[in-house]
This record gives sequence, structure tokens and C-alpha cells, in this order.
Amino acid sequence: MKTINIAKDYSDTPLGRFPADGEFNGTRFREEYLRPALTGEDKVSVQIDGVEGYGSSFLEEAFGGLVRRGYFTPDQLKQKLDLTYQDQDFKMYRDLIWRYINEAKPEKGQ
Amino acid sequence: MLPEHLDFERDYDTTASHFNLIRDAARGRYKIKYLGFELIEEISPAAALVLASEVHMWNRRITGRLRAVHETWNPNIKRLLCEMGYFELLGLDRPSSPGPTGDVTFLNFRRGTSDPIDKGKLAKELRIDIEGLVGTGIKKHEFYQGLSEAIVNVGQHAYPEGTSYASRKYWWQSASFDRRDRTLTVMFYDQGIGIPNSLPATGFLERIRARFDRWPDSLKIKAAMKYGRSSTRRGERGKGLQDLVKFAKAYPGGRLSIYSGTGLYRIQHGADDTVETVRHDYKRSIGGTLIEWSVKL
Repeated sequence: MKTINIAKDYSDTPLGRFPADGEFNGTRFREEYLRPALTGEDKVSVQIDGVEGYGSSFLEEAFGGLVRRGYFTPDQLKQKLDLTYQDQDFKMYRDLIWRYINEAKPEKGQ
Repeated sequence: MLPEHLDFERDYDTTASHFNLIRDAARGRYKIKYLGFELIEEISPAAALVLASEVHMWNRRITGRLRAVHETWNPNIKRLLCEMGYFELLGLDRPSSPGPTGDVTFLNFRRGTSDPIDKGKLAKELRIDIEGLVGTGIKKHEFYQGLSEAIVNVGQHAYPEGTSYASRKYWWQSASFDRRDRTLTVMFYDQGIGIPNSLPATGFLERIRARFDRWPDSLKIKAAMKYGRSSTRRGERGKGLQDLVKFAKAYPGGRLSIYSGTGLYRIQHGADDTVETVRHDYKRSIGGTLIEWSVKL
């Protein structure tokens, strides 16, 4: 099982959706960290606490984008993706991530 | 000459009309020979932030030839602008005697651009500075959620490419703390097209577009807060405005005010989970979008 600690492996200040939004944006996290890990492993654990916080743009693009881009279905992600945190403040972000995954619709042509 | 009171809350139209004059000068519509601060007796933190942004843009226009004769200024105004870093922001000499310390302390202005740098780091630095100022921790996750989305919104919506706004791309932020009632105020301002001029994100609002266009700005801000804001008509985009309210919501009595275009939309959270909203429309535009969080610590 692969583990990704967002704060340590990526940034403790993730922000925005696209590269134009900032260096540690959701697209980059999805394409360089999340998608390769999910493609190569049966199970991926993502530790989501330890960061300053998350805006909707980052979370939707990083996690909802996995479904919108046609990489995975929500059911596949339920099997493969484990979101962990020690800091209970981050429960709200875990819930938000699953909401974005479940609400995402594959884009046309994906 | 600037007026005695610069405060959007107390006298929006006078405050906005003076800022409009500076903005017009910055855009070359006419020349200002002198900007007088002598009469100012009171300036709110939010007005000081907008003033600094306007003077900054004007100073760029006149290629840094701005001068400040601050000997005749009210000591409180001089101190406030010193604390906020007004002189450093504009490349002016700082007064040697900025005046007595007051009950309200201000943080330095921070100016950002839409360049793809680590803007989250700027938000974290502001949070650390605020905690140093107030002497206690704040609800940092909610703070970051709101401020980071404000920053993202500027990059994605405020200064569209292909418009005259595209060359500005700045935003400004600051904070103040009133020791008397332990009120923390955080301000964020951009000089972009404003929330009311962004396309609605939802199919529902698109279908009533003709009616939407006739709404007052305050109602458009309210709709953008509720349904999202997007210039792309993509459903997943533009939901970040809803993040803005989280920091205010994290504190009983917390307040979020959004001035954009000619409108004000305010959300105030009561101690008993009640929520009050206020809408107001003015004659003059604020020249972009001003977001103000006000919470009692």
C-alpha cells in the first residue's frame, strides 16, 4: 500500500485548482502524486491533516478531478482510496472530498 | 483633499467617490497634482487598505514620483498608515515619529499578484502574523479556507485576459485587532471586474440570465455566494465563494462582508446559530471586490 502525506510529500499550503493558481495546486497534486499512486497500487492511503487547510478548488480538482477526467469511478475510489487524519478538525475535509468524488461526472470525451 | 472620514461603514458614498477620483487618475483619465491627507480624522482599516491600493496604482502611473508631507497629518492617521506599511508599500520615507500607540493595532499591508507562486505561503504568513498580533491561536483551517479561496478567485475571475483589467492583477490584504473588544478584522481587496460581472455558474441562473442582468449588485453577490461563480460555465468551478464564510461562521457573532461593484452583501452569524444577512446597494462602485472578515476572539 502506498501512503501519501499531503503536508510532508506535497505542501502544507495547498491552494487552487490550476497551475496558474499557485505552485501547489490541485491539478499538479492529482497528476503527479494521486493518479500515479492509484494507478500503480491496489490501495492508497492519503493523510490529509497537517496542512493549513483546504479550499474547495484544491479538493475538487485533486479528488473530484479523478472522476471528471475519467481516470476512476467513485466505486473504484471507494475500494482503493483511504483518507486518514489524526486531527479531528480534518473530518470536514474528508467528508468534502468524498462529496466531490461522488458528485463528479466524467467529462465528455473522457 | 481627502475627507475627514474614510469609512465604508460610516459614509460609503463619500469614501468611494474619493477613491474613484484616485482610480481615474491612475488610469490616466485626468491628473492629480496633490493628494491631501491633512483633513483625515478617521480611516477604517478597510478604507485604508483600499486607499493604499488606489494610491499604489496611481504611484505606478506617475512612476514613483509620489511624495508625502505628513508633518500636518493627524497623529492617529500617521500611526495607522505606518503600522499598515503604507510608506514602505509606496516607497516613501517613513515618519520618524509615527504617533502614540492606540487600542487598534494593524498589520502590514501585503500585496500579491496573480503570478503562479506559492500563494498559500502568503496566507500562512498572514495567519502567523495575526496570531502574533492577537496573542492567541485562531481557527486556522477556516481562515486558510476562506483566504486561499479569495486568492484563487482573484486569479480565476477578477482580471480576465483580453480586458483592460488583465494588466493589474494585484490584490492587497491586511488585518487589524481592537483590544477593547478583541475584534479581529481581516481584509482582502482586488481591483478586478467584481463578482456581479462574473457569469453565473449554474444552469438555473443561466436560464434567467436576462432577469439576472437587471438585479442590483448586492443580489448578484448573494446569488454568487449561494450558487457559485464561474466564467467558464463549468459546474464544478466557482464554488469557492462559499468557503469565504467559514472563518466568520467559526466564531459566534462572526461577520463576513463582501463589497463588490456597487453592492454589499453581509452574513452575520449569531451566538445561537442564527444567521442574518444584509444587502445594500450604493451609487458608486468600490472599484473591485473588498472582502472583510470580522470576528470576536
